[in-house]
Amino acid sequence: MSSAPFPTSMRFQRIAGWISRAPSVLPIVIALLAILVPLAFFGQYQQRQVVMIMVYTLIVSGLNLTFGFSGDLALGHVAMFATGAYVTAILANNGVDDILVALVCSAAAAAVVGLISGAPGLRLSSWSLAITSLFVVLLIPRVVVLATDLTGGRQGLSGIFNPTIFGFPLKFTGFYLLAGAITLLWLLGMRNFVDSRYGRALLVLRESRQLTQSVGLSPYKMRIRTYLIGSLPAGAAGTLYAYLVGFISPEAFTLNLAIAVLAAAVVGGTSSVWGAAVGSAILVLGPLQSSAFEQYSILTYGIFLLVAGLSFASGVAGPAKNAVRKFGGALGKLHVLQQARLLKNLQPEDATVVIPGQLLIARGVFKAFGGVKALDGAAITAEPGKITAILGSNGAGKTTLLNTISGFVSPDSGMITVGDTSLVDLPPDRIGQRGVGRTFQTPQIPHGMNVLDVVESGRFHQGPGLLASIMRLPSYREAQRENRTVALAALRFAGLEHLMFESAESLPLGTRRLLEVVRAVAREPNLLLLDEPAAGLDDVGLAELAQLVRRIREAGGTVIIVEHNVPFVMDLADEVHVMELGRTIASGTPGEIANDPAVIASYLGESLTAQADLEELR
Amino acid sequence: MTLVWAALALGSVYIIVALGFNIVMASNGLFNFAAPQFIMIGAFLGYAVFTADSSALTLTLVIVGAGTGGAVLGYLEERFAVRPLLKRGHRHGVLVTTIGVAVVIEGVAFALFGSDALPVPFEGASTTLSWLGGGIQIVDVTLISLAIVLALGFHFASKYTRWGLSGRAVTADKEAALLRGVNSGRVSVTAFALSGGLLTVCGIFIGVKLQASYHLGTELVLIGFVAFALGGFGSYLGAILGGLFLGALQMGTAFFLGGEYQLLVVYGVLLAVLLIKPTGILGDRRIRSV
Repeated sequence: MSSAPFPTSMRFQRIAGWISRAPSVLPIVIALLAILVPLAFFGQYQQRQVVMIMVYTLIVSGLNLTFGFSGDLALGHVAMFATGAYVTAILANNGVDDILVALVCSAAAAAVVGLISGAPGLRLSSWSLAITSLFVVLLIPRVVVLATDLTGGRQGLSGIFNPTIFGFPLKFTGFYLLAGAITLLWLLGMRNFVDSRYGRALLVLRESRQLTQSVGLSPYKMRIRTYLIGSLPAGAAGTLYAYLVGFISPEAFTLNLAIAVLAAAVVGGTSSVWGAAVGSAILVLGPLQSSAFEQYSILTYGIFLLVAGLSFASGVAGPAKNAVRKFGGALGKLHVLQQARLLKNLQPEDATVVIPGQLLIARGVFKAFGGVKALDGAAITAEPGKITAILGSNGAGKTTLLNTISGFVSPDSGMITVGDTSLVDLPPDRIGQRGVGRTFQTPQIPHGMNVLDVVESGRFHQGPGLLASIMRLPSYREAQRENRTVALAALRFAGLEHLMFESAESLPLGTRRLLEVVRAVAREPNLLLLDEPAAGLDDVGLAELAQLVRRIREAGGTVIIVEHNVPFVMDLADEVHVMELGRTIASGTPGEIANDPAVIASYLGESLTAQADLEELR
Repeated sequence: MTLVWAALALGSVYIIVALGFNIVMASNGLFNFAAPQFIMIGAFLGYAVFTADSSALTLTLVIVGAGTGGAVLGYLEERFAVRPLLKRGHRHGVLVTTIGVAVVIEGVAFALFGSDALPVPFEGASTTLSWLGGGIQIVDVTLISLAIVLALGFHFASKYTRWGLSGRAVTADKEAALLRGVNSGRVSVTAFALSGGLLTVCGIFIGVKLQASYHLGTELVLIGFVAFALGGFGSYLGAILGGLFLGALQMGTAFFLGGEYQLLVVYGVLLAVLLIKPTGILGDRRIRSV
């Protein structure tokens, strides 16, 4: 990266900086045009249509956040929309006509509906949220009728007009601009969220639940948070809708609308920020427009869902994104420019990564799966600045022991401490937060991330706050830069910085293994667990791995390695524990272990090759 | 007693829906959102045929036709809306396409029959018998026996037949099952076809009880899911338990609080079950992580 492929004159850099921002600025310019052009040139009828598109954009993008980014299908955003509309109508009928008050109350009420349907729905898998949320839509007419005094029952509520803002009446043009501003601000906030550690952590979650927990994040909390944030725009959309139409009744909020919203989301591309506006425009200008079409409306949405669902990849926004990327390429190595800008902000020279190793003690750990005693009083100790290996044949309980330390298996009894903290009965994400990093037998590298992103994801449990991230406050930039800088330092520590912009998932196996270790190092762990890191590596890979692990030891880290490869471990480890049938049968330096009669007799004696390995070492 | 019979009859409808979900879930871990739409198809089939002629002979013919047609539709759903996505590893896209299938079926029914509920006339079905001091209609007796026999049948089939065991192997550990030579594709397509055929047949009787309307499937999907969730994902005995409980709950709520509270109470139960024991009463823990 020091050899930037472009001249470095100040002027050129400024221009290059601007060009590199094109992909993020272009949608905003288009959105502004879409808001302002109808205002300048079209009549009020068309302008009302545009507001309607904004309303649906808000609902659809709320759904996108949950479905497209955290992978949970929700069908209840229509209920949140209805809640917002009713809150606004009830406020207006009770003399509260400040639209900002209505917006805040609507969003809050929608979040409550989100919490009621989401907290139970997300306990299970993604389809149970689909049901708990769709059910709320079915309840709308029932609840409205039960609370007829407040809601007007089936007759509906009218008298929602003449909103004010800070006590001043809001004319239609003002209302139009306010709706545009809210929609645009929401989409920008959503973009920022998706791009922040909260949004990127969702990519990690999609790859693997275990990985997410091991970097110190709670999947349930992440999904609830995303779902609740997505309910806010749906509530706000209710306010805009109520003031746009002036009258609401339960007939406006049906299961069919829920299906239409889903269709718009899928057509626009669920994992896209701006696609929601495209899908909503198609919905409002197409199906919702003509009444002649009503007989076939349901059928049409169904076909939309089927076709779009089958070409699931990314809806219409996918091809659009590709086109922008190609266009960017034509503008001259857009990516290189963006990367250069990122690096300029990082100042990697002064970056360091600290590995504050702590003492791990595990004593008398028992775990039975049914009748099988996987761990039968296992005991190990691992000290900072040392590499501790666990050897043993298949079924000896090595990986189970590793999993009890990182919390994926809870022991029946026993003690496990890191530093002064007991890890027993802590959930895996809390153990990850406490400073236990780990790798997996099969490297878990999320799709669609470059190497630097993957390393940075090791630090996602800390960093800028949610509001700061959404609003891009200075504190966000500060914390973000710190995370990046440490991630870069960790890459440099492993000698992999030349790969930082490569696509992580397409790296060869050995490099992915190293990358997993680096991700755990970036987290500055108190304890590092490596689960069979040498499996499948060739000699070069083994040498690179050994070098990296030694460096971690020199930096003061506590490293535990579970391995089959006896020569590799005997060469690398300072301390070796040998396990058999869930027990630790010997502990000591590699030299002591190689001569331990119990080890030779019971474990290594079984295998001639292993014995030969030992002979060679002696 | 009449109330108890009514609760049992309604419960048996939910057992059938939960059964439809479970046949697919126990074979490949997927949630088939479109399953209850097959009941709606059966109901309209009954309407179309019986308005013309209702005799015992037509009943047999309709049952055979419905079974075959439903199975073919179920097969088509698996083949064209489910398998292509599974092949590409988009498990969560499957939910969208099964919803798509559900909405297409609903849309066709809406376009053909409009929005009014249509009675399915079958002579003698509403004859009321007097049992144990309460009245019960013939159609209800049929439904209750059908539901319980089918659920028990599947319970044993899942334990003792090759198809049932293969399905359980696939949901427990797909890779291990494949290595053992289980054809997961065939297990899955069989499940879709079976559930499609059976639900369409049951739909004829459910239509006689509840009338045929384009909305029938969507209403059943929600309450049937609650029965399914309550009894436990992956368990056929759970489906019986959940269905009966919901029938009782619905009739009880209607009797003591009033019909307008029915859905609210059902929803409350669903939320409580998911919060307290997300796998349901007899649920299989392994299906959780799907």
